[in-house]
Amino acid sequence: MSDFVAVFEAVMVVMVLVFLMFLITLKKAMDIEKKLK
Amino acid sequence: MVLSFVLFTYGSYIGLVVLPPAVEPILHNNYRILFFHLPSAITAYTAFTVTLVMAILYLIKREEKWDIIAVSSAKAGFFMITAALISGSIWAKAAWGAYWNWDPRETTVLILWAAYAAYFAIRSSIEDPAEKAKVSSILAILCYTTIPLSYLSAKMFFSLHPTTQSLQIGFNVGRALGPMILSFLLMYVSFLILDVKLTKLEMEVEYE
Repeated sequence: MSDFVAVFEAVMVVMVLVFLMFLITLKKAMDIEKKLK
Repeated sequence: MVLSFVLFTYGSYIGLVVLPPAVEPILHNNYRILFFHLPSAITAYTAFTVTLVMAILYLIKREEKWDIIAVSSAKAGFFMITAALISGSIWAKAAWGAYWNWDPRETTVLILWAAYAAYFAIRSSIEDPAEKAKVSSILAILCYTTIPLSYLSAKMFFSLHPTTQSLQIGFNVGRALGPMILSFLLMYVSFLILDVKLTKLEMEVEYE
């Protein structure tokens, strides 16, 4: 595995997980909105 | 959140573009994973420490708000430790030749990950809110015992994983690592505030 591929993969994994972390709050907000309707 | 994004962009630019390759041939360019791997690990440890403190506060005061903060913090910690575990595994493949080496640090972090996965599984299986909060607070305290174990594993046993002392971080690495750690911690705080507010709102809607 080249260094470039390794760095790219690791950065992508970290960024996707951070994105997913915030995505669950969006999902929670959408669920609340649904309950309010 | 905006400050976190600015620091993230600055730290990534310095770490990935500006800094020269490492002198050690085994690390060469793959050492740049450090700027994402270490901040996520530090943030995870911080988040689990907050969970521990909140769990203890819940057991003393029996107020719902402490349990809400504890579980939100554990969620952030779980995402961060997963990021650290996977990025570490990719780094291991580049530097040591295999994704998984059963190194003491890798093994103890996997135990930590499994302990907090069990925390969420057990928590979701209990329906009574008071019982759920009490059991998960006790579990959070038990799960936290894996943190010092994973932190000290590289010092206590023979490990390929570097320790903070052996890293010898200089000014060059520090000027990218510092903003990245701060950025990840700010992201964690933003998530915690957002998730706690939403959980409280969700509970209010359910009670109505």
